[in-house]
Amino acid sequence: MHRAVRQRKDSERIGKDLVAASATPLLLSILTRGPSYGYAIIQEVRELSGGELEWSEGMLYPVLHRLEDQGLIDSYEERGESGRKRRYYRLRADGRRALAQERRHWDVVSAALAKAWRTA
Amino acid sequence: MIDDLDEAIERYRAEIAAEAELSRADLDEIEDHMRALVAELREGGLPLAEAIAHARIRLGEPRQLAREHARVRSPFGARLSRSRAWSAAALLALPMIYYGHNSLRHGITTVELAVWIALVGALAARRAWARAIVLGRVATSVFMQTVHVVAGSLVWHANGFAENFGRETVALLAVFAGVLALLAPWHRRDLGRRGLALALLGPAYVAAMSSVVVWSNAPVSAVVADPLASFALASVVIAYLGVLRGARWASVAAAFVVLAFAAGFGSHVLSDSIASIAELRVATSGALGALGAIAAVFVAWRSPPKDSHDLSSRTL
Repeated sequence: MHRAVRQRKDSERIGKDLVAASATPLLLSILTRGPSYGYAIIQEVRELSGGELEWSEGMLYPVLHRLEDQGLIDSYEERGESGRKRRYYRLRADGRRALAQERRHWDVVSAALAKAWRTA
Repeated sequence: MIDDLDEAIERYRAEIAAEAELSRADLDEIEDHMRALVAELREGGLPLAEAIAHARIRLGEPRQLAREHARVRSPFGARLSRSRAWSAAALLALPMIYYGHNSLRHGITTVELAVWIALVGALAARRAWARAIVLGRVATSVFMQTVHVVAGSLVWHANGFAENFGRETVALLAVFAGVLALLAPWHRRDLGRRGLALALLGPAYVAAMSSVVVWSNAPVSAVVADPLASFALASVVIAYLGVLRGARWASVAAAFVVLAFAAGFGSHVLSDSIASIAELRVATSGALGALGAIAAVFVAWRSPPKDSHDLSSRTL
């Protein structure tokens, strides 16, 4: 019984590939609203997806660092309320261009799926 | 369960640092996240010890986290665990002592010995680039020793297996196979692009070096005796340096290695019949070296200085 419930939950969860594919556009979109830091970004992802997108929180940072290496975002440090340094990420011009391209791609995929499901 | 936040954070940081060369700023960033998570969970009514345990789960397993960070931060791939790095270094020390003793006695290949000592030292210090270089060379040696044993036992069986393959060959094969198992990238993208390029240059280095050693007994006369092998060796070394620096000219140097092997293969091996195990070894090793160098040309060219990564991460 317990196993069956767990299996159902696993099958309802959004697949890893889809989560990974949506990571870049989501992160870039969140950063269009202004600079943000890791924990706040995770909170926003959860809010935007209604808790459906589950990220392993620590793994957010390698993805952010990759985007930084790609020149799509950059980072700076600032002291937070606690007095500790906190690393903020902000979108760069290349990131905006990459996001515009991502949006076009996702729009195409979404429109294609919508059409396919209407005719199904 | 740990009920001291500072102690828990210190432990989590130490577990990550043991696995990957992360900067202090990167570790601070993870610490900041953990503190925020614990505060959130505490506000939700969890006792401190449970909040810490949950925060650890939500952040992820330190080893996996460290490995993913290392892939991004280190262009040569993830850092080996202490046990794997030290075991590999200890295993390699055995043939090094044996051959080092012989080499010094005959006054040959002392440069190669010095290079091995440096590589094994760097491997023990868990340098990701050293792992990649040693992996390429050890994998080549395992392959070559296997060809040596299998082909030799088939072709030259009449001359007596024991004459050609002593305990030394078998022992060396066993040691290198053990090292290979320890250094092999068992996880996806463990090596990184530049690490892969370094590993791919391994066969070329082994082939060029073995040509120099086979065709003559002293490095100086070898340059005269086999200028192509010496040119190939110099090109491999330059290609190694290029990859280490993240420069695209590394692939040009690797291309020169391919040319040198192609020319050497034609003039040196095909003109003579392969009559001895040593010559078969040179032929096979040259072909493997050329193939590795061809692959290295492409990998080194596609690895810009900061090492590009695909944007998506399947680990999220």
